[in-house]
Amino acid sequence: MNAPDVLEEVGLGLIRAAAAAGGDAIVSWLRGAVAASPDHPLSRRVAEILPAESESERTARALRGG
Amino acid sequence: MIRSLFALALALLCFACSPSAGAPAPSPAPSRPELARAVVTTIAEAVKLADAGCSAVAAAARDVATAEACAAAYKVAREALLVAERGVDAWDSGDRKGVVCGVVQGAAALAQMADALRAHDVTLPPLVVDALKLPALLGGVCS
Repeated sequence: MNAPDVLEEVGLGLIRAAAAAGGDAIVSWLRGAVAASPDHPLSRRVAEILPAESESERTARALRGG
Repeated sequence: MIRSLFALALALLCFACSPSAGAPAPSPAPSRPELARAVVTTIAEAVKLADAGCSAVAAAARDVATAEACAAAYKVAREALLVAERGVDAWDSGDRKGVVCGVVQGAAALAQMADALRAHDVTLPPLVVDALKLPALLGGVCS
């Protein structure tokens, strides 16, 4: 078992232990912390709605090129 | 007995004279994260719609200036709304200024896109009209 696997096991073990101990609040907090991460898909709603390149930008480029 | 009735009448009179008598309970302060997220997401949807409108009218009129102005405003709005969204995600950290300023700046950029559309006699979609009013829900002032 390599180091990342060990860390994952430890992390999962902590969550399982918290859940087993009735620590719903801790589990909820851990899930919230993951969801609030900037890299988590749930935190990318604006980026999904507004891609980096706008339609206006593509149109401007096409008009300049044409 | 008479004294009790007098006290009751006085209490009723005081209640009736109270400024809040009969008025609906004040709504809670609009500082909840779910409200802030709804504002951010709605303005983002409005920016997307305005961008599509700008692109269409610019292409039809072969108007590079309009396309470039809207593209610049879109970039400003996108960056501001991403900042606001990060502030909402980290609501418990207490960075309300980032949320409000992001929303205000995003809406200001949306207003520029709306002006570009009006200049081409385009009637603004209700989503854009409504979104322009939303910063007021969060205080509307970036200071």
